[in-house]
Amino acid sequence: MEALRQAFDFSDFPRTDLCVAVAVAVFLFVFPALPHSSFAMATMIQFLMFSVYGMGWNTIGGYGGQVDLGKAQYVGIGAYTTAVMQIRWDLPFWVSLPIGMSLAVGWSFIIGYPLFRLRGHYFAIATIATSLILKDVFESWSFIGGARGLKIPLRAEMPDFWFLQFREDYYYYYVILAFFFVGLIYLNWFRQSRIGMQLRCIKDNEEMARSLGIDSHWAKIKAYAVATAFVAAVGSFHACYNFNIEPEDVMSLDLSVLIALMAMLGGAGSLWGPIIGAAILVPMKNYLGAWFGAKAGLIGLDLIIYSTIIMAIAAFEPRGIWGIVTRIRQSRSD
Amino acid sequence: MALLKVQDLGMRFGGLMANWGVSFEIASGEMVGLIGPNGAGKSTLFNCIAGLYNPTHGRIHFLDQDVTGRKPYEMARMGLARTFQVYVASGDLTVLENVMVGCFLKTRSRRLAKERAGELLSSMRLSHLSDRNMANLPVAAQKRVVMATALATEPKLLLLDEVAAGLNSTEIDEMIGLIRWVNTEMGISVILIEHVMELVMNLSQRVLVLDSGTLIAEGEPEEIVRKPEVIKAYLGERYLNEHSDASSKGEPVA
Amino acid sequence: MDAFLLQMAKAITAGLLMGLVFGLVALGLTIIFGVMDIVNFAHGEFLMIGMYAGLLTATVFGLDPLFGLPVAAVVGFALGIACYYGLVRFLLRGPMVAQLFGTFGLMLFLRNVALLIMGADPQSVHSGLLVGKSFVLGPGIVIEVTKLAAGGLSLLAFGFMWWVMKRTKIGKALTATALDAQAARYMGIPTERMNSLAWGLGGATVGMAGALLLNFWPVEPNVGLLFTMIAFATVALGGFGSISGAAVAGLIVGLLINIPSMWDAFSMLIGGDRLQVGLLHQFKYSFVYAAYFLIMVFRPRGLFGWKH
Repeated sequence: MEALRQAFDFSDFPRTDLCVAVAVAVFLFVFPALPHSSFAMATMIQFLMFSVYGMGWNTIGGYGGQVDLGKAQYVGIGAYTTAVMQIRWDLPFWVSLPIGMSLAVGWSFIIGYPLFRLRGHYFAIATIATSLILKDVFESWSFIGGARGLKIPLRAEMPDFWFLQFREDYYYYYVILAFFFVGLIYLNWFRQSRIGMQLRCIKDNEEMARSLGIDSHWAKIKAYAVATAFVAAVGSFHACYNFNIEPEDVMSLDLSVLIALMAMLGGAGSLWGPIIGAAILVPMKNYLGAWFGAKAGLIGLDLIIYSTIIMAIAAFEPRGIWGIVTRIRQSRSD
Repeated sequence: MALLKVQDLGMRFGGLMANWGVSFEIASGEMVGLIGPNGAGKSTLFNCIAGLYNPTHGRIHFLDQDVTGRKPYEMARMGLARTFQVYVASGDLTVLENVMVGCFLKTRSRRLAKERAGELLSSMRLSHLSDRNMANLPVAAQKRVVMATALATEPKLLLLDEVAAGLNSTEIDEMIGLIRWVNTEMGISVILIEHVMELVMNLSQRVLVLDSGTLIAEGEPEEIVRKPEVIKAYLGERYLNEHSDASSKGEPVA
Repeated sequence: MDAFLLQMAKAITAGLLMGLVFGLVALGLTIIFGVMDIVNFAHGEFLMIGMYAGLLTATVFGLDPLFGLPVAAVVGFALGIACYYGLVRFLLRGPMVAQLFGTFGLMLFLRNVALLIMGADPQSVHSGLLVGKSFVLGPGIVIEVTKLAAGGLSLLAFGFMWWVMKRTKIGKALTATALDAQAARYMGIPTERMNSLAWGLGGATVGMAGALLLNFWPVEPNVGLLFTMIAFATVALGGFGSISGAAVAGLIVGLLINIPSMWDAFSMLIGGDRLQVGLLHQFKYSFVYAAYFLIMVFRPRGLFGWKH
């Protein structure tokens, strides 16, 4: 009960934050009713997906300060569990979702134990290594389609809420929007919870955290599992939304880094950070890609602009956009 | 009954013996000073007791259990708290939150942790700093907050590593009052590593002197300053020879 | 039996020759890492640019890609210096996350600049004096001369870098900066310039490696990531910051990547196609990644326990 109250307790945020948050929430609810292109709709769905990925990453990467660059392996586990269960056993999304999340979390415990013996760069690189190994496994496992991936057959009747198959995108939109709000509320609880504060203490000064009775190794593994659950859930959704999944799509290093990057760009370790990051990067990536790639034929220019912005943020404001906001606020209050 | 019993403790780093043959006991409720020149192995000794290092020799007993080689968090859960000589915070937590993390050792409830932390901060007269960031506190305040955080874990034994370093004389007086309060009102045993002799002499019921990794003297503050081996460790052999009557006259050196 | 030995010998020589180049790739990374304690995610992209430098030299002048070696070294050096002053200098002030993402941004940047200019198709060198010539080592064991030359030149480049780092004043100043930047500054070593020099030398080393690698591997804008990972694995294997470690670890990684070929040979020996699973070939890089992971978890100081 106390936990529930805590999850809905946003009272420590300034009023401007809450006003903006409510305005954004209202916009998100009514967006499908506004006039929009199908490209804009797809971009919005991707924005919501990446926000939830980023929220998950934020638990371990933001609050815990452990730069995890291997989240794509869990996207893969979630997506493949849903796809395989639907194709082979005709099991609906809502059954395969918790199973996929459990499998992913189980795997995260297995590799989290040795992974968190590493720190800093070494940890980050090791997460990439584990993710790429799992991708190799998936690419050569014929049961799940190998490198060619899987195609989920269309169902006879649509909309199908059990199997999450819709002709119109706005159904998908509201499903992922629900994930988004559940994630946000959970994260609001998490950041104020015992484990959340212990993680922030570990990030601050691990030696001190341990001397305060925190088993830092175990705390990190737990947060890593939470992050994994988020990411795997969106992975399952991705399978239904895209119909088509292949390892190169759902398990690539680019995806892992993108997840981390969005959270970092918005502001790692803050509640709004991942959302802000996704709101900027996803549309930018999509629209720049469409303009330069399709119209001007300048393949690569979109990513050049995109990477320049990443470098600039890393060099001048590593705390991300939320860091800029806090700095402006501090200078005003001083 | 001994709260802490250290027997023949030794810690070797490669070819360097940071500690050897250290044995002592701390009784429940006692306040003990641990002094010695720089590099004498004081912090290493603390790190061994707190579980940060696994000693290469000897045993440590805490609350009648053999705790040699236990992890720092296991020691903390048994009731041992410590502060660090150098505290670096990247500044993610506010003062209140920092103390709350300490409280979370004994409770899972955020509400209780917040209450406890608030009480502790107000009884240490730090309430006005609650919302300040750990990273940009003045030294004196930071030392007190770090102590408050350690106390929040409700320890039986508190290890203080140079809590008075960098403080001015008023602040030192306040710190003396605070540590005494911790010892008498809260009933927590304290071991303090300190170079500020005023604090050691004022507070300690007993002083342990460490030099080159081993205990060279032990006793009450007044007698310790007269011991030739202590004078030698601090001021060198030359001084002892030139002022050979200093010790016999009983002039305190520190 | 003969078939087994032959196949085995082929796999091992291929692995060792490639391993020499891998060692050089890792050396570039370890020079930068040793001095600055920063991870360069764009390392593979430096390699890619070295490869293109070699390719362009070869195609424009119709020379062997081996002649691209000095060109690639100069290009790599300039690139390293430019990256240091343009980006890395700022990243060093921030937390570790900033370094990871900053150099990741650099990786995306270089990759896409290459894509924009050179196009996405894989390219390799088809002309030149040595191209197509081969060298018969024994009955059935044929080594292409270009690969042999690449291996030999890597050794030479390695020796040169070793000499620079261990025997010259600059190398000693770099080592001093690596050990204690502040103390080095007090001794009058311009540490800022040393940092940029480390990037320059690291870039030159990996640039040379790129020109040599062109003999084994076609170049495309996306080639870098794989080698970044291989370089990290190699450096972890050899011990971070260790020059000789990088050399030995490079050979080991070369052999690791050829495990599937060795397995093929082995399956010939014990009879037939049953064991000759083509599957294993898909895992050849996984062996390298797994090696990194296991080494870091169980022997973080590197396989040989050399000190950093």
